[in-house]
Amino acid sequence: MTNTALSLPQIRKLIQRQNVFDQFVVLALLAAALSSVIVTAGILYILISESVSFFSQVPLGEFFNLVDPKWTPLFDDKNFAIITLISSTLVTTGVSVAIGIPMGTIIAIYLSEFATEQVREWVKPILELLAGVPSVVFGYFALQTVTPFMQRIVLGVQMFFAPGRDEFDYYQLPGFNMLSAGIVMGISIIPLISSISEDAMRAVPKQMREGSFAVGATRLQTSFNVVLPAAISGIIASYILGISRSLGQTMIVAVAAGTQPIYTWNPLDGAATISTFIVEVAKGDIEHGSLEYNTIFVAGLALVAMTLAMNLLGHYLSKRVREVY
Amino acid sequence: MNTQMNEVRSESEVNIPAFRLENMSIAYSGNVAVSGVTVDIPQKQLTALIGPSGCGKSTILRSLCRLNDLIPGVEISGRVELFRQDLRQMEAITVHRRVGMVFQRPNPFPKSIYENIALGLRVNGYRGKIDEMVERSLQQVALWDEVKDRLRSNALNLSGGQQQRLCIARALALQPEVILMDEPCSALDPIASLRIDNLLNQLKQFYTLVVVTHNLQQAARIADQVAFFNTNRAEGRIYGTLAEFGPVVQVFSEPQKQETYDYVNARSN
Ligand SMILES: Nc1ncnc2c1ncn2[C@@H]1O[C@H](COP(=O)(O)OP(=O)(O)OP(=O)(O)O)[C@@H](O)[C@H]1O
Ligand SMILES: [Mg+2]
Repeated sequence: MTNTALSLPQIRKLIQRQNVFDQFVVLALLAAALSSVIVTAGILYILISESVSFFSQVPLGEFFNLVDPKWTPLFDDKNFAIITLISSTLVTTGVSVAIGIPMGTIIAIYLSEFATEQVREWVKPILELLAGVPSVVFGYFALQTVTPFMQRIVLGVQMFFAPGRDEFDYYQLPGFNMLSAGIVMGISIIPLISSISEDAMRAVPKQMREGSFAVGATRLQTSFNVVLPAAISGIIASYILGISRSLGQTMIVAVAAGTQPIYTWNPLDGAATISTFIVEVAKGDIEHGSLEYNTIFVAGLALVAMTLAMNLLGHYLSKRVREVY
Repeated sequence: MNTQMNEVRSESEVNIPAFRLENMSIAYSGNVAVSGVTVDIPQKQLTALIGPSGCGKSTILRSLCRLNDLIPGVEISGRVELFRQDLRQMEAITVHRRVGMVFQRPNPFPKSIYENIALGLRVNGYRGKIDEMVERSLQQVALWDEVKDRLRSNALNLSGGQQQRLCIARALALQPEVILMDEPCSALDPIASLRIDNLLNQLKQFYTLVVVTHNLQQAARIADQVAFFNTNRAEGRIYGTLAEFGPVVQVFSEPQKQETYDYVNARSN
């Protein structure tokens, strides 16, 4: 029998072999997915267990002290008010977001809706280059270039509104300040926000834009009324990534915003953020398992909690926004 | 003053065609899709475009409302007039405001049902009551009763047929001079489709309508004029030409060409 058709038992065997292979692949994929879960769980476990030993020595009231907050875990007179570090983390992140989100969004809209193919070919590699600049370079750019520039601006503004005084009688912007660090952090997250937002906007089907043009809308009206709402969840995702990146940003703030843990909400001051503190402590030699050592982990846990809260907020927002329109 | 101008216009323009195409050809990146179309599309009538798939009906429709401007590599030759004006010299936005379009696939905006209609009114600086216009145009497409309780919910949650009726309502709300429709009923059930047919029959007293359809019965029900496009082959390339144009009765019962006869009687060669 030179029949090419398979007999029923043969087909069964083939399907069985196929099934075994499929199951193997599914298992492999599951393992890959689980590995990230395991790593995350491991990190959380270490952070939490070290924090537990921290809180066995420091009362919660001291940690959440808002009345007279100080953060001096390495001094003899120890204070552990985490708000000291959280405030500066929020300030630098706030400045960075105020720069990075508008700029990133505008660039994304321009690239996706207005730019010609040639312009895009020029701008995209430049943005990628910006994304590839090491953060320590950004840090020194903030300290050496942006800070002197901001100092002159702060001085100029004062001289404009209250002229006639001697130059040194005016307020001087400190050499370490959160404003410059935040501005440069904002610049550093522009490529992240613009590229993800642009992808989301370009994924909006062209029929949707055509529908808008067909009712007589301009390109600008189409971008804001049709493309942005259609791409909103991708755009919000890019914002969240940008904010999380800023919250955890270390080198720029460590170099440009100073390492003094000062409680302040003023962007013109210099102050250490959570991550600045962590590198500062990790650089020095502290005893493994000591209280000082535990503070690193409790600070890290605070940072993780902030990032997590950010992600949850973003999740909630993108759901809300989607329901509203 | 305005009314005077309108009167002068309407007297001299009452018999001019809405569109005049002279030897119009359209190519995508050098590949000719439609070639040498010469036709006058009369105003305040419904002209149906029929013909086999790929003969360039959508292509022509998109060129008539200048949407092909957006596709890189499209070349148009010949002359196209919209009420005596050279369509290709006009501002694209002006054309979009005077010529409405309903697409082959429903494409509502990712917004609420209400906003889908209000948006077009707003960008055109509509002065009347938007609420009333939204209701009126939804009534016209027989969608009002189905959606009046959820005007604020997302239009993308509607069924395909409801979305298409919303898109028709969106075009109607703007009261353009001409409405182009690319297979407006292909996503509709027979009842809804019949409702649209009745609507189109009413609308053609006020508007110039150009409707692409694969449904010959529909064409017979709604059309005043029929343009039959056919596909041709040359050097391995396929392109469309206008094979026959005339009043609906003539095209369906006494076609001048064998290819038209074959198509309307659903015979393949
Ligand atoms: N954006 C485009 N780029 C390149 N070629 C295109 C494009 N749009 C259409 N074409 C080509 O133009 C020709 C005509 O297409 P068109 O969509 O106008 O046909 P149609 O008559 O509307 O067909 P159908 O009845 O299936 O909708 C086809 O050969 C198609 O491949
Ligand atoms: Mg088509």
